This record gives sequence, C-alpha cells and structure tokens, in this order.
Amino acid sequence: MNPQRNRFFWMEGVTEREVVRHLNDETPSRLRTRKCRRLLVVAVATGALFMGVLALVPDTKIQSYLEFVSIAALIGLYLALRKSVRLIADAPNELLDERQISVRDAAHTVAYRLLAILSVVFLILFLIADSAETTAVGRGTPLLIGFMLLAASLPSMVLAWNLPPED
Amino acid sequence: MSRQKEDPVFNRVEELRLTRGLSRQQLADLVGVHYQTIGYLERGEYSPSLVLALKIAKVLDVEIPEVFSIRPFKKDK
Repeated sequence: MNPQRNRFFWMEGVTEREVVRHLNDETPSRLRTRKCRRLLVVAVATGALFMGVLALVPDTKIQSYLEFVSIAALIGLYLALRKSVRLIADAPNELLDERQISVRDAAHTVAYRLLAILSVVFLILFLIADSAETTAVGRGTPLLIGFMLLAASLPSMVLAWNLPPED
Repeated sequence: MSRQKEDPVFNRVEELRLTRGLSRQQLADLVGVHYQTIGYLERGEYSPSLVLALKIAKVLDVEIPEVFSIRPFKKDK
C-alpha cells in the first residue's frame, strides 16, 4: 500500500488504510473472540427486533427517545461487528487474499438469502406500522432505518458467527 | 467456509516451514497472502487454491505432493 494514498472504495464504504490496518492488527482484541463475535450478532439481531416492536406501539415521546437510542446503539454495534471480523465482509477483492475472499463471498451468499426472507417480514411490519401513522414522520421510518442497518450488518453477522477463533 | 469440510487436504506446510526457518509472516509475504491464512492452512482449516499450493511448494522448494495430499501424511515423513 502506498502510504501517501488512501483510496476510498465507494461500493464497500471503506478506505484502503482502515482495511489494511484492521487486517494486519496483531494486538489481541476481545472483539475477535468467538464468544464476543456471537454476542455482537445476537445484540444486533435483538436491536433490530426491538426496533420492529417499537414501531408497532402507538407513538409517544418516550418511544421516540427509545427509537433514537436504539438506532444509535445499532450503529455502534454495527461498527463493532465490522471490527470484530477485521472488515473482511466489507473489503474489496484487491485488499484480500484468496481465503479472505472465499469466506467473505460465502458470508455474502448466506446474508443475501437471509435478506430475502427478512425483507418480506420487514415489509409486512412496515405496512402495518405505517398504516397506524400518527406523526408527520411516520411510524415506519425508524423501522426502515433499523432494517437498513440490519441489512448492512448481515454479511458481517454471518461472518462473525461462522469464523473460527483467532490464533 | 465449506470446501475443506467436504474434501480435507492434508499438508506439511508447518513442518517444512519450520525446517527452513521461516515464520508464518515470512512465508505469507513470499506467497502473497495474509499471515493468518498460513495459520488456517497449517491447521487444516483452509484448503488452498492450486495457484497458492504451487507458490508454497516453490517457496519451500519441494514438489506439491510432498506438501499437500488428500491422504494423511505418514508421521516419519
């Protein structure tokens, strides 16, 4: 990697420097233990489910705050999840070797299948939540944001669940 | 994630690497992969592509059947 250059990969949403840094990080990290990786997967899934439940409840001020906190927590969990798998799920081919490309592509295949199923579930929930709209923003909006975050996290979630523990 | 579960490929990468005094990082740099990939390979958790197997054999200066096999290696080898 050219130290002067820090390419941004638009499709993947990562920079060359951050991917290389995470891939070569030899510092032991709790995030990269199997237990922690799987806990993160469960936490993201629970967070997304919580968003779904919140969207079905009639609007109140407290619920709006809860939605905001949930979205913030989901974003934090998403970033931690990416770190736990060394950004492999979001890295471009040119920064990965053949094994990393293989596990990334396998994770994307599983994530795509899961996304197809989850899309139907979220569409139904979205229609129910949006039909009960009582605010200008619409009850379905936080649900949609939660779903988008879950969709973005899915490849990393699959990878985090399946990767063996590091050395 | 699945290929090696179906068709295990046995190897002597660690043994040959150590006899040549190479670290995982050094071997990884010589064959152009991440150092962790060498670890996965040595533990039998990943089966390399033909290109990578050829590169490893070349760096270790042996023929492919001396490093990789679909049958377990005899211990005295």
